[in-house]
Amino acid sequence: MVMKTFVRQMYTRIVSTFVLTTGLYLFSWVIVSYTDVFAQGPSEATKAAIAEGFKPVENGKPVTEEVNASLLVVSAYGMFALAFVGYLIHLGRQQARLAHELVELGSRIDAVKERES
Amino acid sequence: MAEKDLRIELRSREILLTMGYFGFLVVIVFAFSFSAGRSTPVPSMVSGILWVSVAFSGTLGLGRAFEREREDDCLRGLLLAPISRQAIYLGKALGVLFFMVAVECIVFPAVMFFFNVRANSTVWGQLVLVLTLGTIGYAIVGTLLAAMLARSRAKDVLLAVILYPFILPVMITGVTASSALLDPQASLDGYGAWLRLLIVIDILFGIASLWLFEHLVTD
Amino acid sequence: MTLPPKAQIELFDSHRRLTVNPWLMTLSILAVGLLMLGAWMAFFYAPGEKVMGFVQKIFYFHVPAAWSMMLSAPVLAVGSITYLITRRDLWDRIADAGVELAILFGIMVIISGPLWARKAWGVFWVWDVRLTSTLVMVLTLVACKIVRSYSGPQSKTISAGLSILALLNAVFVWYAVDLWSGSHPPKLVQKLEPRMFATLWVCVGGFTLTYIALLWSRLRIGSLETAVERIHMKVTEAGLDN
Repeated sequence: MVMKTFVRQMYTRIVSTFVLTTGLYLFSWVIVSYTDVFAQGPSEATKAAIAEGFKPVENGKPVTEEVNASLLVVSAYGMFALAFVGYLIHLGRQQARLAHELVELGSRIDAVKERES
Repeated sequence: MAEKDLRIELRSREILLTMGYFGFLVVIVFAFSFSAGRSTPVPSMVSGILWVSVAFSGTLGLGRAFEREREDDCLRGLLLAPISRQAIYLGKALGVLFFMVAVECIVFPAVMFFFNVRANSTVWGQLVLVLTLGTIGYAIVGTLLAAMLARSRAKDVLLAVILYPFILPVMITGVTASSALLDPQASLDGYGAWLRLLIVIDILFGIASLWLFEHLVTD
Repeated sequence: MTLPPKAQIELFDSHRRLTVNPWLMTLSILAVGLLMLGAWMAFFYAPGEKVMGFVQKIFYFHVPAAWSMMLSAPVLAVGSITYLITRRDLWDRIADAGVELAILFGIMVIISGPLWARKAWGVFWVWDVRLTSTLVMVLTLVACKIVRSYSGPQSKTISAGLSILALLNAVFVWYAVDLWSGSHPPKLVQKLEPRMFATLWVCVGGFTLTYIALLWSRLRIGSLETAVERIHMKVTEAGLDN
């Protein structure tokens, strides 16, 4: 019985090691054959698949000029400020809650001490 | 492991039937909402619908995958048994894979039928290849996530929340590869690269999951 | 009925954590000052960009925010992996802080990016490499946080595992979308005018300091939380709960 368990353990260990090494080997093979794909950059077929309605501004698309830039910039920076302040408030509230809990625990301990003395 | 699951499942057939029927229903709903009154399909839409149907019906199977173990605390017994964690994981993943392939046998023809897709045999073969690789990736990630959540409260909701972001790479590569295949005008240049990316994703996720499963599923 | 002396010491210890740490205070003041300086420089020192115009001002905060988000990747990777191996609470807190800050800065990037793109590219959203993988990373990390707060005793291990997967996921999405299309300005930094460059560096410095200060405060709160939990347990053990 012990022997059987041992053999089974060894068997699964060998199988899993085999799977892992084969996986790593396959992975490195794919990576190696893959590097030349990335070296070439995206192929023509994929390049053509840029989202519809998209045009870099260098190609001169007057549509984009209608947008109010200041509004965008102001809202972006407002968002940044809001995010920072919001996170700080979140941290502060957490800390306040913990402090409150600590004080309460401390008062409990003190009460017991007084009762005992 | 996989064998045991399959044996129980083939006896009761509850997952298989519900998953298969659910997948079929999803396809029908998509067919009604997108292709009513239209005879020629848009390739990217068809592949998107195919993958979304597979993903939806897969969620059902994943939710059930560890349910049976949990019901009578079998998972702990399994973990104590003298087999390596990796073997347990692989067994579970194989079980999930089997169910999903079975469901795809229903969903795939249904999509092709309702959206009037015509293609030659090479394209069919490659589509099946892409679908299989994608399903492997889905099963690998999904089994790991389902195992992690096996003992938490509100498991089904949590699984739905975390599963979809984590299978996005598989979905992106799968959808793009299969829509490249289904599009008669597109050249097959991009397809090879997509296939290789899919393989890389499968292998890397597989290795990561094997490692993580060992450390995550404790006691 | 007596309280174990160790609990009292810990209580004292935690009180000390609530006091102002002079180093952290200095760091925070420096960080805020540098951010202010950066914002001032962005608007009044750096020249306007020729092609994109005024909207390019977003760039000076957008890029450092992305940089700060990148800083979280090693923090949460090291924290999570070490936690899974050693199972010490400290690493879990580090990983959790990394996840939270990654979400914070990721949201900044994701909101400011489209505002800029609306003007520069004409659309709010493009399925581009960086946009997509940033979005996916934030989505997965938010999922991580949700799972963490709802999955009971195993939540620490689960969230550690999930955050590792999240990083891997972001890398995959990066490659996938790289194959698909590419339209983000890749080497913008190289052709910047010197004054723009200086502004950018001030902003990056400010964001980095802010990042460290926030991480530090978050870790302090984390360890305080653990201490409070432990004292709670001890007090309950000693039968002091009423």
